[in-house]
Amino acid sequence: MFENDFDRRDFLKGTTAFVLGGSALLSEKLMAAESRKAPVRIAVIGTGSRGTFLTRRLATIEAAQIVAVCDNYPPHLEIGKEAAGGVKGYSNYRNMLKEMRPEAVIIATPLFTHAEIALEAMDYDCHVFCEKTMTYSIAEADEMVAVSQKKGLVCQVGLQRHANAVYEQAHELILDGMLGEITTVKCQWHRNGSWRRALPVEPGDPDYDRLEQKLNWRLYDKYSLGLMTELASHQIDVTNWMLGSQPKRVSGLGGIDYYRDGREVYDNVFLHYEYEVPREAGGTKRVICTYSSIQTNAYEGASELIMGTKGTLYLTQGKGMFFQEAGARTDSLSTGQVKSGNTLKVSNDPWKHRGAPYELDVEGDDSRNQLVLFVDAVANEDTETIVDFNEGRIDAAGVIIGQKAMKTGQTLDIPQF
Amino acid sequence: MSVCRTYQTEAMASLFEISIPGEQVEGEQAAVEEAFNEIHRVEQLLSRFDPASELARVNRRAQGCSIKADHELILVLSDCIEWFKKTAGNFDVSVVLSESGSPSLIPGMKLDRQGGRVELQPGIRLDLGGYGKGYALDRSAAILRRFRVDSALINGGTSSVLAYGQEEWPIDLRDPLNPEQIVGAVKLKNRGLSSSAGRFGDGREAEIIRPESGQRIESQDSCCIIAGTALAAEVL
Repeated sequence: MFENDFDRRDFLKGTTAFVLGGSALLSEKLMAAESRKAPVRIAVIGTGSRGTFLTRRLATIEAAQIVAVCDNYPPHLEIGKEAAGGVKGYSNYRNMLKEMRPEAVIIATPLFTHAEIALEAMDYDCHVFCEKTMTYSIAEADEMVAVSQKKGLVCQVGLQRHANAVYEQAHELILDGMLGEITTVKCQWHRNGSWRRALPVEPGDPDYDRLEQKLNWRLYDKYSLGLMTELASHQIDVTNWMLGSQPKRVSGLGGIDYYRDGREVYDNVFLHYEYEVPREAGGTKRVICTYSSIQTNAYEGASELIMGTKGTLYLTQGKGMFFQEAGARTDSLSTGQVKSGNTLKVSNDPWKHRGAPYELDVEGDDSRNQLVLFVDAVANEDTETIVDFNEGRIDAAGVIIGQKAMKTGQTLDIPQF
Repeated sequence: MSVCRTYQTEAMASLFEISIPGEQVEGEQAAVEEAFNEIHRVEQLLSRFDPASELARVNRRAQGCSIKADHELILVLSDCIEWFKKTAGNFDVSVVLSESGSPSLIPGMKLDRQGGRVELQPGIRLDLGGYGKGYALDRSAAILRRFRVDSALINGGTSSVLAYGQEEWPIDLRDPLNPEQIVGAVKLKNRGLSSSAGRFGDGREAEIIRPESGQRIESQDSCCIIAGTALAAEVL
């Protein structure tokens, strides 16, 4: 019997101590017995920075065996082979699928190639882990969902906050009613940097233009939708999850307002997403989520604020904080992993009204955890992954229509799935 | 020294700075961002404080149990064993947590390089604090060079510095007990420098010099090592 139990324990350690004894679907799934004689044979397609990052983590998982890596840019392929601990490398993913017949593939290529590669892999009956955003277009997402369901394959999208104990506990707190009625969500991903990869050749070199498009694909709109698909998709996914809903409409403003380097994607974006969520008393209400991402100031960093009538959750990958509204404070929360912080409150503290936070902690790396869970799902042929292709499609539709709303200056309806 | 441009990032609980002299080459900003990404990546791999780092996972999971670990971490640990041997055990990344732990890296850690596995004796954990900064400095310098930045001074907080290229950088050495006081100065070119207070350094290798501290400080209070790489300076 080959067990993935060892790696699962590392993840569970961070998630089982759920606040107020809530039992998550995720932990029950993790407890499921498994029996398997050999590790899952996996290939990685795309070994640029993200693909190499995933390869390194995959290589530490006992129940996984990396059988090949693939990249059509030789320097990245070399790095990928090394990160995998020395495996066969391919420049063409079709040849790799044909010769190696992996059970599962990890797709970490530029956005515009996700669908083509995923569909080809599924044609070989491969289970698929696809990096976020799942697809460049909604039509491609429809096709991937249809094929994966028809074939009954195990499919997961790389929205790793679903494998993060901070977010898992936050979701439990919400289900337990600790936030009251959620009325507002505010997310931002603010950084200070050009987002530009360095090129190994100088301007004027015959390869310069080709390498610029290849390595800086995130900056060109035929390959990527920029901040929306590369960053916002994580946070729209978190909002969908925490609200248990999908966005209905979106409007926004964005532009290339600071960088003058030939990029085509916006360097700052501001959007409003509208959700319709059920009310406890019956009927529904609108919840507005404001989203922003900028590349010239990192003061606010990356986080999501989930605001309800009784409390606020401040969420990041390494730490979460829960603040109760003044009228709702209670001591009954200090159970499980949530502990009261020791914030000094002085009379002129501008944040005095917040009170001391309850802290949500995490142990381990969610990028690795999501792969542990994917490998586990493949080993058990369990198609109910932590983020299946339909959830990936809902997330993709939100960011793709958000980009279109900014381009057209209109408020647009988002397709519902 | 002509004008130089200085870029900063926070990592490993220190302020890292890259100073580049001379004409600005096209793509310098992107090259610096790549170098900083590398420093952050090394921190994610080797930090003992970040519970998401690979080293933290090894410390949690490898006690009394052999586990598959990251390929690069295995190479780093293997290098630590080499340094442990070269320094007759003075450079030791193992920390004893309880009496059951053996007092040093050998035999506290079992490394299977071929299989990519590591095991720690129960009660032993690893602390790469005396290795990580130097390693990060050397790696970031390699990246800057690859992207045509021919000369730079890279500073990992004030305790570790690496200079590469044709430039000669004047470095002041401060009195650790009285930081306002400059007790010495060196010219750094194509060398790493690491200083530490309250710890012994070992200057046995021919290439390494140990400048005498000022009169007010006992020699064991401050020690400054200059070596061919930032890593060697850090380790020694």
